[in-house]
Amino acid sequence: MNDVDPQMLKGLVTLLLLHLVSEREDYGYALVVRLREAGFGDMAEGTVYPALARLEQAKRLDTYLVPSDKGPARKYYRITPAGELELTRTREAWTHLTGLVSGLTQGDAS
Amino acid sequence: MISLWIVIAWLLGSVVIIALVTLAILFSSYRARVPGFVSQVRSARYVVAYDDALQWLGVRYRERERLTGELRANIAAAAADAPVTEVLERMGSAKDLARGVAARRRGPTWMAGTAAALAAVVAQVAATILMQLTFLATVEKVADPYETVSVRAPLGLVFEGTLGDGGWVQAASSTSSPASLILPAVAFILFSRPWRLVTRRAARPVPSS
Repeated sequence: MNDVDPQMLKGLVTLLLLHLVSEREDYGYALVVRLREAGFGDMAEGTVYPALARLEQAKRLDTYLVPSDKGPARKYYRITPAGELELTRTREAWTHLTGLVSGLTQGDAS
Repeated sequence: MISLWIVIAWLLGSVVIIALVTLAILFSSYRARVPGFVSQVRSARYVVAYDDALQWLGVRYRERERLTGELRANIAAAAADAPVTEVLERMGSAKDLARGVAARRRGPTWMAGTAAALAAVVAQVAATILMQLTFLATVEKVADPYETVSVRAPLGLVFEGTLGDGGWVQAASSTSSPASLILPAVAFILFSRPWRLVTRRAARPVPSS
């Protein structure tokens, strides 16, 4: 994957996390790993954990603890109805934005 | 003499044992389950710094316990894939992480308020000593023998000194009033931000089940 501007990624982190959690409930580090596997290698824990905390505070995500044999209980995140709405809204906004950007940049090229 | 040494050794031994037990308790509650003692110490140090930063930001004890528990679990999971130094490096500074996580959890910062009030008290005591010394030097220069000079300073401070016949102040006193508590109280309120007790209610977290 080409290098992506970290500032650009920060703006997308909410959409990405809501999408991943809606696919499968998971805990913080596992979400980081899934992002990396999806090609977002530059997405550091220092960006993901605060974003998860913000989404939890905003009640877009709910949490529950699952005991772990590797240490303290893991905090799993699941999407709330408000989170589903936010995900739909953000997806639509993103699709609209990428459409506009593509239209502009590719329209200029042709 | 020997019994004195026994008492001293017993006291020192007790202090060392208490310190070790305290450290062990602290260490066990902050360490992440990662391979290697050095890595455990590194991760515990990071978690302590994170907890400290959260405390300064006004995050409540129970919330901090939840957040540090989550961090320890994430460090333990990440340490299975990479060395702890790399894991901690990717997380960035513990202070920045705490700031990001606590952005909407901030309550009153009582610790910062207390520190500011103490700093104000120390500054006030230093200023009082400086004023007292200046006052005494002035009395020695300008007062007549056995004359008592009294000066009022800001915040209700009153300095009084009586010159002896050798050109030295033979009696001096200073009295303060409750007004001297104003500065520490203002510092405490400004830095502890108690108004967040009201604003935080709107951003109460979803409880973990």
